Amino acid sequence: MWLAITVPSFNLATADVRVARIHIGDGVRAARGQAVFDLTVDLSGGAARECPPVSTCRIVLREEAWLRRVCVEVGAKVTPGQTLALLSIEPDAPTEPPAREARVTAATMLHQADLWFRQA
Amino acid sequence: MTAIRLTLGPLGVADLGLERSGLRWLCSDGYICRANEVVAYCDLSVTGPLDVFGEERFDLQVALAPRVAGRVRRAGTASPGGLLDRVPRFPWSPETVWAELEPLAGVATDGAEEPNLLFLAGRRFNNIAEDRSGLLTGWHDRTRAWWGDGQGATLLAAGACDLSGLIRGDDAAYAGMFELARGPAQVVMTHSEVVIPCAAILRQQLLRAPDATAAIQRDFAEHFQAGGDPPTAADWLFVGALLNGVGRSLLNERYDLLTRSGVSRAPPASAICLSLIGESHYLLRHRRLGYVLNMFAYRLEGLGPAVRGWLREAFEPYFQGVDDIARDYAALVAAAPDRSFVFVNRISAHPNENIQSYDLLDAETIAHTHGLRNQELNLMLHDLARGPNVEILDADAIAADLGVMDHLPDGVHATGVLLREMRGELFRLLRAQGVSGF
Repeated sequence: MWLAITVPSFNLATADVRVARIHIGDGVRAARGQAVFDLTVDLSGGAARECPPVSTCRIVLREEAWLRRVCVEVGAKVTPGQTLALLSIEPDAPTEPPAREARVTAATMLHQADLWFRQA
Repeated sequence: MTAIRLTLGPLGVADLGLERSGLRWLCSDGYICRANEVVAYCDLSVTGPLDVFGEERFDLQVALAPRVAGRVRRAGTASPGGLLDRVPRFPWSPETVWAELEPLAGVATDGAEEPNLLFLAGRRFNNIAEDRSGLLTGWHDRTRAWWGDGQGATLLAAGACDLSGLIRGDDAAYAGMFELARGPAQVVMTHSEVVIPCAAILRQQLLRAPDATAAIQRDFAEHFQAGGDPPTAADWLFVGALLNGVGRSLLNERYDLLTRSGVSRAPPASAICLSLIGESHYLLRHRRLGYVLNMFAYRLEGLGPAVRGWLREAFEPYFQGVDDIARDYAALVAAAPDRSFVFVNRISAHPNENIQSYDLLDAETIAHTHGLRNQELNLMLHDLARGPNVEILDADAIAADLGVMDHLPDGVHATGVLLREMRGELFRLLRAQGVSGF
């Protein structure tokens, strides 16, 4: 059975969501608790302004699966519902449309740490 | 009921000169105001032999609030309009009638002729940063408001945007505070866009010797005299504001006050409000001089290579663990044992977070999870509050009661309802600590 990880529906429709980090690659067995994606979520819609409501959302698997295909690249702008990756329960399951969403959890991560080093 | 002629009433300026601008109105003609609601204001100029309101002399204002509720009728001569309503050019005459008030039925009107006064002052980052467009408008590194006759306690709020909304309120001019507190009282809010006050910085400012400040300025000058990329105009403004923020000692500052009974100088704040939001994950420590900077990263986006290079070469970033922040808070409280502290905790929930079980998260994720860090910091405050002079403003609980999705929808900015609830709690805590006037 194939599964999909999709972009969560964040709180505001104007959210600018980008892929900040991909933790694992194609063909890897992902254990329960494996971090898969970090998404930068800018609820100001990406518009430069003061005190920007920017956070980092980490997508973590809640079930064991094989990562079959990562569908996005780091830096890509993504939209709610867009497929980020396809997985399968069995390592060699033939390609088929995903039967359901993979079970994931969304953790909000400290965000500013990365900015310090990139910008200073 | 007979209309009351509202006069300005006296101000205790003794041998000082005092002029006012024309009035600017915050309500329409015929508006029915609440008791003690600010309805108009003007700019003031105090001149004379004393160096009063030195750095605030360009942005000194007074707002007028009728003592009783009623319908406000503007006096036709109070506002000539144009720049005359922005620049002090008229003598302050106690007998000047600025409005008529038709009191609501059943309202006692004794002494209602003279309004309550809310005084406001802003300290500009630089004298050229002029903006007289409204109440407390302009680029200020500190604003304050005081009211009531005589000298009451001073509350100093040092922090970022979350405290600004809490303290200055929706009108950004302290009217929410003014309506809640009987006074006499003063509220001060620092506004350092570059250097964000946090416990480590407040403590270093409190204890720093004057020659250490001079060494910081000298070090900065030497760096940019040594060559390399020339700073841009924007860079100079940035580092000017940075040095301004580093060089102040917010907890040691005194305040000039003008009231109906006279001009006086208030001692440093007796109550301090500090928010955990101001504690960034990373601080910068100067490699040689050891002083600390706390800046929001988005402020660095427009910097040129000169200042970026300076920050990179002269400073080392370090991660602030919960224990580090706890140590800084405890040291700050210990360094100011005669002050009352109200610490605002963090709202730990985030609208985008959806963790069913922490058990499945790895150590790296656990260490950098927003909600867990916030909860640990909040717990740290409870340890601190076991000691004297410390109260916690539990924003986390208030937000949970109201609903985080509704009242902190972007995870950063609170609604007016949430801030109003927090303001009420702040007053309760100040009263519990015996801070006079609140």
